[in-house]
Amino acid sequence: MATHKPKLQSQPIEAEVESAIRIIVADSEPIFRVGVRKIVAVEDDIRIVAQVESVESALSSVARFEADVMLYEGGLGENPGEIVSKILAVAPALKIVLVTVQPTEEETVELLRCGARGIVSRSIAPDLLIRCIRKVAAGETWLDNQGVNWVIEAYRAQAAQLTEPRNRVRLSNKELQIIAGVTQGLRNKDIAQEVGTTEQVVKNYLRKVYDKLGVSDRLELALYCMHHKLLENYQLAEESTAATAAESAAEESGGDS
Amino acid sequence: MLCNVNTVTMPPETAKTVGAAGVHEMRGAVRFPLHLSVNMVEHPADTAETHDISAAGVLLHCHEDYPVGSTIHFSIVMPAQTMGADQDVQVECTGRVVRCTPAGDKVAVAAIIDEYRITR
Repeated sequence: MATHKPKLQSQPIEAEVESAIRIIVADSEPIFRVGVRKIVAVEDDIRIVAQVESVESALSSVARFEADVMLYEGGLGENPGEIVSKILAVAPALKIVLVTVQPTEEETVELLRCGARGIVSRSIAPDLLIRCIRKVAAGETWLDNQGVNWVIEAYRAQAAQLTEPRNRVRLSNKELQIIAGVTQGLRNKDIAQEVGTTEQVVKNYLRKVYDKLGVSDRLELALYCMHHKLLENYQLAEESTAATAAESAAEESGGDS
Repeated sequence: MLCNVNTVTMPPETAKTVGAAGVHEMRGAVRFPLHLSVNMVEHPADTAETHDISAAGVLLHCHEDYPVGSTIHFSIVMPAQTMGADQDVQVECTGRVVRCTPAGDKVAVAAIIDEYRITR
């Protein structure tokens, strides 16, 4: 596992060449960085513009150097997915390739969700690494066969969760009440007033509902409700408010969290 | 070891932020096969219906042609009963036509939903 050295060791390597793929190497092991430099040195169309050895330096380097691709060591920080998101927040056009020992299914899917453009093994052959850099720089995604299967399975599972009734999750009365408010076009503030709680609690509940149902916005939530007849015969009325009043007190602490 | 490395195109909804080039075959979001009435703002007389719909796009069956690339405004009607409401819910959408093909005696219009607003 890499150490987290706060110091910035970005090193401008060579003058930029028009149309060359500019890469940043973020890796804790000098031997790996040297190895990549040697591999890239003989390629006319790829230039290393910086090499760093910590998360902090990686974040600084993307702000300081214009680059097309970053080779990022998966073990450089605690949560590589989160770090990928942070780096992309600074440099949205940067394409990040994770260099890892052996990614799991969960890590692979999560890294791609967070915006990684490729995942390669640390033992990748030099010619494959060069091909990977070129492909990723051109906008493609680079994964090995197992990674491809994992991602496709994740996609299928997500689709099944949204369309298969047997996977329907249990929702509390209060959650249903809030969903009904959303699907009727009420704003969070108005729902809070209807339910007798705060806007923040409504937001917290909505986050949980989105997670439970696997939807990503209000329209998808409404479509999900229609498809599964989730709110059929449900009325956003006094009786439901009364029924959930007791529930509110118990759940609000959970909703606040 | 990486022996059989592929470059891949991936479903964008699976990895929303990946945005790999060349992703065409798999849909961007889960499509629900819902047949809902649609009011076309530019052609109020056109009785349209959704054939399927996702949060990102919709396939409409209309009676009018809509030029590919044009912006359209339409309102999808969600019946009150299925929405647990006392009146129908409207989803007012602004979209872009990406495909327009004959579908029997109707026209199948595929559109991306750029903006929407749920109203009563």
